[in-house]
Parts: sequence; C-alpha cells; structure tokens
Amino acid sequence: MEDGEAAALAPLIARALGAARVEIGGVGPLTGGAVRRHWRLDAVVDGVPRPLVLRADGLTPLGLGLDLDEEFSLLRLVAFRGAAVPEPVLFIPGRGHLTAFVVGSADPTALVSSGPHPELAERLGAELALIQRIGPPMFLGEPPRNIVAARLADARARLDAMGEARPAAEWAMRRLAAHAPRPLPPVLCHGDFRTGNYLVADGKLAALLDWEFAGWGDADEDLGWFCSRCWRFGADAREAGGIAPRAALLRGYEAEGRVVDPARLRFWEAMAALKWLVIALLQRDRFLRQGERSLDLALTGRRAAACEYELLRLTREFNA
Amino acid sequence: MISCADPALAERCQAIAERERQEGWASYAALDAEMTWLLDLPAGGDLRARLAAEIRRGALDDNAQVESWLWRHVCLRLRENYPEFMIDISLIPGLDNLIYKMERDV
Repeated sequence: MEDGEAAALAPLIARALGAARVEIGGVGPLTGGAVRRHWRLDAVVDGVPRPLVLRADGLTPLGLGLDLDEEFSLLRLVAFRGAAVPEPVLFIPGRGHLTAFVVGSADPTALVSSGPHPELAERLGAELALIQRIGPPMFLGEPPRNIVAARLADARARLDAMGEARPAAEWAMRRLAAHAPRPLPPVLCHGDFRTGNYLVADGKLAALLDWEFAGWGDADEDLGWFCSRCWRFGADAREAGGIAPRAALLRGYEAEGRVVDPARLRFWEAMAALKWLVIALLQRDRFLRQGERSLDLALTGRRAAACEYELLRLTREFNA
Repeated sequence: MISCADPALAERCQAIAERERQEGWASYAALDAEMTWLLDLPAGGDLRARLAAEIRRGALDDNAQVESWLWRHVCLRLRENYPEFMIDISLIPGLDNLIYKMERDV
C-alpha cells in the first residue's frame, strides 16, 4: 500500500469516527499473519495521534474462514461483549478493515524463550471462557449437528480435492471418528487460538488477533488447538502454547465454570493436528499451485509430515 | 535423531537407521514393495491411493502391520524434511519385528 492510497482512506475514517479532520502521517507493512496482510497507518484524528491497522486479504486465497466483512462484524460483537480485541473502527469494501493499533508483541519465539508465563496462560484461559459465553452472530448460521463429523468430512473433502493420497491421515481419521467424545453444546470458537495470535505487553495479554477462522465449534476445540504440539514452538514440555503447563491454562478457563475432561482435550489435540495438516497443505498450494512466491508458504507445506506423525501418535493413545 | 527410553534399544535402532540410510533400505520403493506384499496387491499403480481407499472403507482397521508401515512412511518423510526431528521409536508398533526384518534383509 502506498502513502497516497492510505491518504484516500482519511475521509472514510473521519466519517466513521465522527472526526472533523483525519490525516495519515505514514503507512508501513506489519509482519505476521500468513493468511492476511496488514499495514500500520499513522493516523492523526483531530490533531491526536491514533495509529490504526488495516487488515486485507492475502495475495492468494486460502479458501478457508470468514470474509473480511464477516470478521469485522464478529470483532464488533466480541469487542462489545468485553473480549480483549483491537477496537474495530471501519470496514472498507474491497479494501479490508481497520482496527486500533494495539501495542505489544505477538512474536511466539520471543515469548516462548522468555517463559514460562503461567499467569498469561491463566488469563488466556479465562478469556477463552468469556468468548464461549458469547452467542455466535446470525451470519454464522446454525451449528453443525455433529461437530466432529463435520470437521472430519471437511478435512476429507479438502484432502481429496488436493488429489493426493495420505494413508496416515486416513488412518487417523478412522480412529478419530471411532473415538469421538460425547458432544457438548456448540460454542463460539476463535478458531486459531494459539501462541502467535495474541499480543503481549509487559507480560500481559493485550489483544487476541486473527479471527478469520472463528465460528461454531466444540468447547474443547480452541483449548486443544492451543495445547497442540505444533503451537508450542519447541517448548514441548509447556503444553499450553509453549508458555506454561496445561494446568495454568485450564485454571483460568475452569474458574469460569466448566471442568475440562482431559481425555476430551487430548481428542481435540489430535483434531488440531488434522486441522493443521489440512491448512499446511492449503498454504503449500498457494505457493505450488497459485503461484504466490512465498518462502513461508513453501516451508509450511513441509510441516505435513510432522502433522501426520502427531496424528499417529495421538490417535494411538486412544487405545491405551 | 532417534530417542527411546531404553538406551540399548535406542543405540541398536540408531545403528539400524544409519545402515538403512547408507544402504537405502528404507526407501519409498522398499516401503511400497512391502505394502504390495502385505496387502497382496498387484504391483504398479498408485499404491498409496489404494492403501488410503482401503483404510477409508475400514478394511484395515487395527492392522498392526499397516500401522507400522504408516509410522515408517511418515518417519521417512520426516527424516527427509527435518534430519534433526526427534523420532520416538518406542511409539512405532511392531518394532521388534521391524528390527528383525531389517537385520535379516540388510
């Protein structure tokens, strides 16, 4: 995005904020986010600096998740209900959406290497419980009747569409289907609730980011994703996102009422490995088939074997 | 790298893995040959697609030999992608038979 393009947004921002004058002092790309692109806009609103973030589609589509307008609507809802998210400011059709810029770091490597952070994990658990108390918006439609079956069917369809046989994934999906736990009432899930997708400032949670995969889900789905080994960034012993023992995350979550069944959580960790396998291959195809020349996307495809290893490992425990 | 709670077993398997690497025993071709034999399939064609289809229709549920094959197939790909990846061989089912088979064959 060029400075001129950003400046053209100023009148729209002024209208959204009810401001007399908005100037864009500068614009620059922000790192992070493998699905969407982000820029920081140094806006000055009626003489007061107010940095914003523009979030836009990626150069090539992943083919998963919410559209930007849906994500913006959801952000407004969860912000209204008190979730720690960047303040939504404006949706701009064809361009993206604007939120407040929140100071903090989402760098998982830095966070994990400075750990453990049990209080942060506890806070994240409490935040997740809060999100699950929010009724999903109408545009998400009705929840799937059987969430596990829906997730497995979706994974199968996406893997089939790639035209590659993955016997290990098939093996794991048979086991997942056979050992699906008793369903719980569906809840609003963040869908990508993990280390790397939240901002931390002074060791505290500043904001939850990247809501494009939000939707109806199982109450243990986000917990399983958070705890899965692929999101521990090498700190495998700290099962809660590489930042703390699992107990810390669950302490914060369970303080809100629901006690987590460990076996159920392990099941959703295995489901997380399947989900990451599918996403890793979709990301790879943005490089291989859609022509987006991104080293990050190419390398993500190489994670598929590790996902299948995790799937075999975790689904084997079902028989233990 | 290979990790295992039993150091003697780990050492033995490390040696086998090294020999396997040097002699190219655990190649995809070797694994495909093994699966062709295991499933009594005609040679040729897309073996992995047929295997995936058999698994999907439930014909191979709880087949320990197939599970062992899947582990070795995934571990082979992991070793290609990440030579430093820690593979806990104690998880691989049918390992004793595998060691026997490997020692016999190499």
